[in-house]
Amino acid sequence: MSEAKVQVERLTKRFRMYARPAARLAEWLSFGAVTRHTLFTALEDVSFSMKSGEFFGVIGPNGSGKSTLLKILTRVMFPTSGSFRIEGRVTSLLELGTGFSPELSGRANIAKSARLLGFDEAYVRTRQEEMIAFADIHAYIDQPIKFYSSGMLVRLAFAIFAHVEPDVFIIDEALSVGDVYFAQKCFQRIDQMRARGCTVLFVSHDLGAIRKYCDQALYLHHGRPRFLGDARAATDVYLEAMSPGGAARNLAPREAAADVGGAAVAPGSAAPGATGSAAMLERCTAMRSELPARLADVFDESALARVAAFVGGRIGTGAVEIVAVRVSAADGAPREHFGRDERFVVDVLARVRDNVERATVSLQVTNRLGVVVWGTNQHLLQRRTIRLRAGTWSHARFVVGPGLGVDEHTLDVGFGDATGEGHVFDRLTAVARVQVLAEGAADFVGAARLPCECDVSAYEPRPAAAALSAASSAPNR
Amino acid sequence: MVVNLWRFRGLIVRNALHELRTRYAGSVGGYLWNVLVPLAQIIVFSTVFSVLMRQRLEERQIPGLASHLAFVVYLCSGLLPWNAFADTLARGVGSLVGHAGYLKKLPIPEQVFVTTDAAAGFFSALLSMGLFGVVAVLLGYGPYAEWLQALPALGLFIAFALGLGLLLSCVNVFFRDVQPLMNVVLLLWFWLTPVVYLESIFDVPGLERLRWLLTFNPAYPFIRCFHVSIFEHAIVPVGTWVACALWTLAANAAGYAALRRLRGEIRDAL
Repeated sequence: MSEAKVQVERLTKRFRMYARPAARLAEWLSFGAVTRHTLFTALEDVSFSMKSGEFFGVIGPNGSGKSTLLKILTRVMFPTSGSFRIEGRVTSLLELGTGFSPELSGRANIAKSARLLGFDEAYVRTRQEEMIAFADIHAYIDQPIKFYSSGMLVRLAFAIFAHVEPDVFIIDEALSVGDVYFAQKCFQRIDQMRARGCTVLFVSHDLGAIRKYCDQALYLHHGRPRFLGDARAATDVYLEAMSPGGAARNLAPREAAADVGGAAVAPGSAAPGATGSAAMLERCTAMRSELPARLADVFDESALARVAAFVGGRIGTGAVEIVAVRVSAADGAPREHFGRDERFVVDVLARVRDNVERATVSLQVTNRLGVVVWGTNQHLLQRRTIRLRAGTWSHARFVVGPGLGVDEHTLDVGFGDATGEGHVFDRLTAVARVQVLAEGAADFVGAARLPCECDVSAYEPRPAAAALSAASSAPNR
Repeated sequence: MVVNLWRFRGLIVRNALHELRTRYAGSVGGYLWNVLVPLAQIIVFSTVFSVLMRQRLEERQIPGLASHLAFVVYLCSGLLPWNAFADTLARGVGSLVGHAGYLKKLPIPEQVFVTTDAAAGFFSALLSMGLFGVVAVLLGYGPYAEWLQALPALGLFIAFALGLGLLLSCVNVFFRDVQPLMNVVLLLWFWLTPVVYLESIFDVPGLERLRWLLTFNPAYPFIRCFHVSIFEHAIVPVGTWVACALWTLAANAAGYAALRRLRGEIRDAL
């Protein structure tokens, strides 16, 4: 086993974009004398190395070049420049079930996948029973897979890939399809594979899993490496950049400060769209200078920019206008990811345009499935309403939790009329994000914590009945 | 690149057979269509041309075979391989675009897909030509040992189609015009090749000036192989074999050169 199993050097991928096929024809016919294409850079100057047995994570928003990187490493795409070296055999869950034929049985599909991946069929046949056992689909293995549930398909596909003993195993989002027990089984299997020296490249939006399993991680942003190093540090940088104010914050000179303890990456790379947001940032700075001093302490530019740049759902009469939303930890540090046992703070700042006699401010939390997990308003909480005078500022602070389940949540905030007429003055849907990670102690599972007490008592059976039945020992209340 | 083909040989053979099995899936005739389609074509062509061409054919009597049957033998010996060639080429041209789903996800070399189509064409031709051999014997013609020459000839002809198919399928990824264009070219090519008519047509005054077309027609030496071995049951001259081999080599060299040049961009453009 050598030191570096995977060595990637300055990998760059640029796509040629042609407005019309005829433009390409012009280039071909002129033997390259004319240029009619524009280049789109999907990946730029990416370097990293993976050691034997390492668990390496790749994170980044959609369109950041993660898939392109994986496609190059699995040799589905060719890089424009740069090189990579992989020792041994690579298999990838990227192609999960690509070659499955619905009409064929599970067994026949195992053979077909082996052929598609270029594996020796005889070799795969010797591992077949192990795969079937792992996928846990004995009863159905000779049925056409069109009768399989999607969970069964994923199990079958993973079983095939995990049992062909790759040296480098590439896993992408696909793994999140199965149920939680199977996911755990997969990770156990991956651990076994790692023990034998298999290197794992893991691409996921599930930052919890990245933090839990990965040793190192690469954070890609618009095709460029933003951070390379410790997985936990990489997710922190990512989470901060992903918060709506983050992009704006990153424009500030302290952008490079994010590289704590990681290898240096692409120095001085400004966030994309910088020119557009720079003007906005300026506006926010101006607006902040108008704020009363105490409010200016709470609401920084990014909190103002979050609302100024907000393009999502917004309704209301405008009698009260929300101008800033800020999410922070209990200690005041801006943050959008929290452990299960942490509180989070939501500050909302509004400018009052018209006099309002009875107003209330509301907060609502929605999880990734679109389910409203919890919501409240100031009126419900305190049984009184607030009175707003035109020309003033109104600052509301919610201190929430702990009690949200592990998930990604969006926050809706709003000012509304509390007279019962239900006018909405201003309401922003999904204006902020709160991500709860599987960290910290929690006394519950599920979407949210409920107040709960649980007593367990033990009872001895009646002397006469004891011999007859032990089953009647359940408490009867 | 050829090493890659060997690695994926199982895939190529299995998928080619699967393709033949499922080509007519969902039809009542099923597998039978692989035979019925060429059969129907032969009946139509032989009916039409035995009426038109009877005069010429009488010069070339096959002893013990009625002259219109002799024409059917002539027709089949050229038409069946041509069908396999045209079919392989037409499918080959669309092969990379048609398998975009695989190409975008699996590191399978591009040539594997075109080769699979060629293999399917080869198997299908074996089937129809075997059937033709049986029918010929039943009609009282043959069997002759010279017929066996048709086997390597078929292999070369399909390999020629494979090379051309590889070249054009690479281009077709970028310019989808190639595929419809190819259908037109194939039609023209068919009528420029002596398949349904006799070569002696170029002896007719007025048409003799077109004989040079044969020299530059790459398909001609292949068709010639089939005519000589099956219809004339004679030994194919070495020069004809050499011509076939050269065309096959040239087509495959061009195909692989195109693939080598374009493969970096093929999967991006799909």
